Amino acid sequence: MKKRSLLVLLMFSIPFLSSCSSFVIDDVLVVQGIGLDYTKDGKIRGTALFPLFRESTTEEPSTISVTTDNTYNILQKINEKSALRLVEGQTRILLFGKAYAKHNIEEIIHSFSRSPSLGRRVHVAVVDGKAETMLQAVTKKDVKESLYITDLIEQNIHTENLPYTNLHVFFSNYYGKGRDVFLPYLGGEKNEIKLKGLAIFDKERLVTTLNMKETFLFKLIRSGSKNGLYHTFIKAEGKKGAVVLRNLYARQSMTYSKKNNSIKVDVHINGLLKEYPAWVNAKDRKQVHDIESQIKDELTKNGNRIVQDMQKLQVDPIGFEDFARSKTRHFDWKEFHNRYPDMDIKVNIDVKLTQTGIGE
Amino acid sequence: MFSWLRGSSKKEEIKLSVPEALEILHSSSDFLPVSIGDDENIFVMSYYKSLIDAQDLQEQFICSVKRARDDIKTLEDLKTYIPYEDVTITSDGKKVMDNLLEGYIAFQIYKEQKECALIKVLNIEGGFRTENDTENEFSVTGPKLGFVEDLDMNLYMLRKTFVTEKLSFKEVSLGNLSKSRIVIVYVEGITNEKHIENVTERINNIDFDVVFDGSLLDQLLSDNQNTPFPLFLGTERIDRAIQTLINGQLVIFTSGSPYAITGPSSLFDFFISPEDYYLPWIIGSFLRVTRFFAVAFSIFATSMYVAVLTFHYEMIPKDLLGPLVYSRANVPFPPVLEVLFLEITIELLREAGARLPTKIGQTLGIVGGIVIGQASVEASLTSSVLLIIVALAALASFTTPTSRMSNTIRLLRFPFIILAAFLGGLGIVIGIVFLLVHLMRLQSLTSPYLAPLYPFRSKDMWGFLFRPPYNFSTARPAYLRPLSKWRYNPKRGNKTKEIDKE
Amino acid sequence: MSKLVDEKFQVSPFLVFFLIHGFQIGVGILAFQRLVAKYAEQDSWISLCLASFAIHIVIWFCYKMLSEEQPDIIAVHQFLFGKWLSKLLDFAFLVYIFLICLTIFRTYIEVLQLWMFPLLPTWVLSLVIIAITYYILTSGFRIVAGIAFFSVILPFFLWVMLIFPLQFANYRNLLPVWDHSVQDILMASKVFMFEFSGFEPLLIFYPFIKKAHKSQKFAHGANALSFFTYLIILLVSLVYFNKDELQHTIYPTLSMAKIIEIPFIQRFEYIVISLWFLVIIPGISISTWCCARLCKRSFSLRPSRFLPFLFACLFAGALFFDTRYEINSLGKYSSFVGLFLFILYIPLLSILTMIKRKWHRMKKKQKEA
Repeated sequence: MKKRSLLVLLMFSIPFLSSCSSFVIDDVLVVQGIGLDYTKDGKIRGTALFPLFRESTTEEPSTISVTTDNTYNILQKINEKSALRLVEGQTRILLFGKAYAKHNIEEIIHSFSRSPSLGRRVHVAVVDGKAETMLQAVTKKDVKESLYITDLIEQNIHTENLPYTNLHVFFSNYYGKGRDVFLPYLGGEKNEIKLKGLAIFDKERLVTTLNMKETFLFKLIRSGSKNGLYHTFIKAEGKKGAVVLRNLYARQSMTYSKKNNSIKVDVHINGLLKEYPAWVNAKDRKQVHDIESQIKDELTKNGNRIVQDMQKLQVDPIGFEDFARSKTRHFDWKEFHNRYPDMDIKVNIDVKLTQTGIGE
Repeated sequence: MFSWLRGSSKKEEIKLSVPEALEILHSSSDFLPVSIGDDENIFVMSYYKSLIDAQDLQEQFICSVKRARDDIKTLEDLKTYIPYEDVTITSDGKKVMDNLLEGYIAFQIYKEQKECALIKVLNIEGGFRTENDTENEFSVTGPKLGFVEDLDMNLYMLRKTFVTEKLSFKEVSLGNLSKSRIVIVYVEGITNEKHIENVTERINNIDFDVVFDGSLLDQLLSDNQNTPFPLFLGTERIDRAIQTLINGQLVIFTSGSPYAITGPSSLFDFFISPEDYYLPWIIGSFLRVTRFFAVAFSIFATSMYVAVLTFHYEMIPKDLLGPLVYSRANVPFPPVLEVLFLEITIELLREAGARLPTKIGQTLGIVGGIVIGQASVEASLTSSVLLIIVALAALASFTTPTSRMSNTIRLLRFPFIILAAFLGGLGIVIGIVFLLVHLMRLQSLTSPYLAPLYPFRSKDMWGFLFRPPYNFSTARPAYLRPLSKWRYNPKRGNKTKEIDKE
Repeated sequence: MSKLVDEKFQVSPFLVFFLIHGFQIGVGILAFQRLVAKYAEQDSWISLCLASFAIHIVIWFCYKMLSEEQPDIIAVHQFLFGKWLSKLLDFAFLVYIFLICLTIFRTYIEVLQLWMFPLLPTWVLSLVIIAITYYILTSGFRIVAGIAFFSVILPFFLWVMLIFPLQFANYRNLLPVWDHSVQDILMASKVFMFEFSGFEPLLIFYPFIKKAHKSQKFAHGANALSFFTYLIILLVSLVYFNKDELQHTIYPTLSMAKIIEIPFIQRFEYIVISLWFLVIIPGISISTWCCARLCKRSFSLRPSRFLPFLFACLFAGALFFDTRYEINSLGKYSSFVGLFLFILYIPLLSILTMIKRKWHRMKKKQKEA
């Protein structure tokens, strides 16, 4: 009995020594955004965005920036400038400046994929310009919210003009042999933050960007979607007008034929004609069909163009390689990679307009 | 002479004669030897004035003795002339002493007679209350009668409510200084005899001076005195005691205490309120499930606050980060100390409120709670978020129907807070493991404490987690090993339904 | 023949389910995906089926071997090999179980140090776990079985959390089916065999089960539930990670937990890791209990004297295996020994026992005749 109570007492006294690894939340600086830029003289400029709660429960976002030689000691250097200890566990947004993205993002990926304190719902994006200016733009907004960019990206993902992306998808695409990385592309002038489209990478370098219309198509071709708006022009009876198609449900299917070295992508969209010119009579089935086929042609043409651009640049963000792998036994990556630029990849988009709004 | 100090008076055989016994008792001023008549040495009555019903003595006894004065020559004759039936003639001094303490009078024909007659003239009323509204175990519906301090009254109430010939009492006496009467109540044919033997044996092995209350007996009888968990369910309500008897448990009464203890009980017995049974089963089940959640919340809420704020800042949702950081911004202590400060304040409020007279107590409680809480937030001694959590946890700890369990829950919170402060979330899990192992080791009258959960019996488990409708609760819980399994048969009453169908 | 263990220390056969399943699910489940995907990639689930089936057969052999006369492995050794060789074999078995205990112990501490408390020294966590294990062991076998029971029941709600990784599932990762050679699949099975190694304590706690021969269905049930658990987690991992990413992730199960997000709790992996303590505690307590019992039965050492020594070894072992590489090799070594044990040793013992019993029975009949 004595030995037992001694050991129990021992157990209860041991933990007294372990309070050294605590992060009491008002004694730490909770970083919510990290931005990386590549300066002209080859150095890395890192920025950390964090909220300060000085007067009330509303936060005041502020930033600290440092210049280093190497991506790995950015957080450490920022710590040297801060009164409170820096913790990156609540990071929600990671921004790459365009120059940095064009240079090499391998280091930061390597660092982040092995860090246990980051969650996988972190958003990653590329900035047309400098990440530092964008993060500072967040601090200058009227609505004080350090998660402005995160919310912006998330909201656009939910309205589905942007394909779903977060740190997990990013790593999947980076490490996976059959895919390439794509990230949201932000831009803006004079403290304005705008979603410009998608940035496509070839392994660790930025190669090209897509605008928002192309992003919508990209998303459809990649995996179908449940929402999203597309704006285009139609011609009918000599008149030109603008229509906006709202995607209610889009299904995508791919077929691969190794012999013919071709992949066919079929996308079927159930759409709602959200806006159409006043001179169109929505009750007339023939007119609606006409509009449908015009939209269809436009979408197919643009879709094919996007795919061919990807092929020319030898990048594969849509994942054709992975698809081919799933359909082949004893798949050979190198062989497919060599064939890829010349492959015959056709996109076929079919539109069916089911609704046209509540009024006519 | 000082053998009673050594505490071995139970086992020693004291051979006293009646005059010697009466001589020993003379030292107390309420002990009177009185003689009926003029001659001091004839017809001597000895009794404790404080125990005797003086009116009864005058009217019945002394009157009849005086009337038959000439006819009473021996003690045997006494029996024919007095209107009492319970007359014993004895020469055992020890027995005389015991009985005199129970309210008997000792009657000798002449002083120094070696024999005496013992007649009971006890004053039953006086001093003890006759009603108990059971405010501590309140229920909106259902009978609110409770046990009182007088043991015979309790037994009377029990017999009157639970009308069956199978209800049996077994009386033992406990205490080496003051002999309290202990009555073990059980139902023949349902209660397992092993429990009765176990309890009797344990009571006989206890050596204690005065047993004041049932809760004292509870602690003396328990299998493990080093645990904060109550091992016997104590109650003041009659319907609750009867429910436990029906299930196959025992009820133990102590004289001088309205608190009856029942055993063997399991952990889940403490979360059952008799009100669950008076409401429809859906509402009863809902209330019971709410109680379980409230208890879990009460124990873990503050420790989770400490763990998250001290170690796991990443777990805080982004919208909550602002209020939490701001509310803690000027607080000088780490979260642990903040929590302990508030918890201790609430304990102080509770203790103070319990000691003050009701009118002042209520006001002080409200004022103290609100004012202290508000002021400490403004003085930045605590954060407002924490205040809400601690207040809710304190409220939630009162949802248990038994006050003993709510005391345990109050206590259990503190080790978890300290463990969370040192090892974060892991500390809480370690605490849970430790608590589970402790609960598994506990036994109440050798029956496992976590009964339907750990030696797992799914049928009994349903009865404890929810309150099943009456056609499903026909069997008694098996962990009590009752001698008879079925309580009633719900199918027998179904014939009436056919008559209604026209 | 008098019973080996008094009835008041025995537990109902139903608890064998939790004892075996609790021990099989330990730290292996956090990191196994990477090891198997190295060989069989998307066909790993086939290896899993094979391995689980093999373990079912081994459990069947165990039950054939254990009976009233030889209720545990010490008795079997004595029956077959005589006094001195059996002591040697018992000692080997003891070392094996101690190795498993040490592997679980050290791996969990490493996970804690990596994911939650980087600055926490090893000895603090070791002492805490040892203290709790000591408390459990001194309470007897019933409490050990009870802890196994709770550790299976309480974390059950974690199954629901698997919905979140499925949001990012890419089902094409599972195709094409059977793209690997049989050799690859068998190599992956080898890894799985060690993950399922939770049933050896059965050979030691068999006399503590009431109506032990009736518990066979529970043992098989436990193995089936472990199989099912591993299968689900493996499938979800395979559709969530693509195979190259999987090679870069050391603890795929925990990395999957990073994506779980419910309205008021952001990073679920901290809850998973904390709850994992509850999952490994039966592993550690059952294995230390087995070591103590082996000592008592085979070498007649009283557990109260032996336990402090055992815990000191465990503590020293945890400090000794410090780096990632060493812990890895500890695991590899244990799995190698374990494999040999399952495939060869237990079936061999079982067959020998059956043969010898038959021989005894024939001899008896001859004597009577």
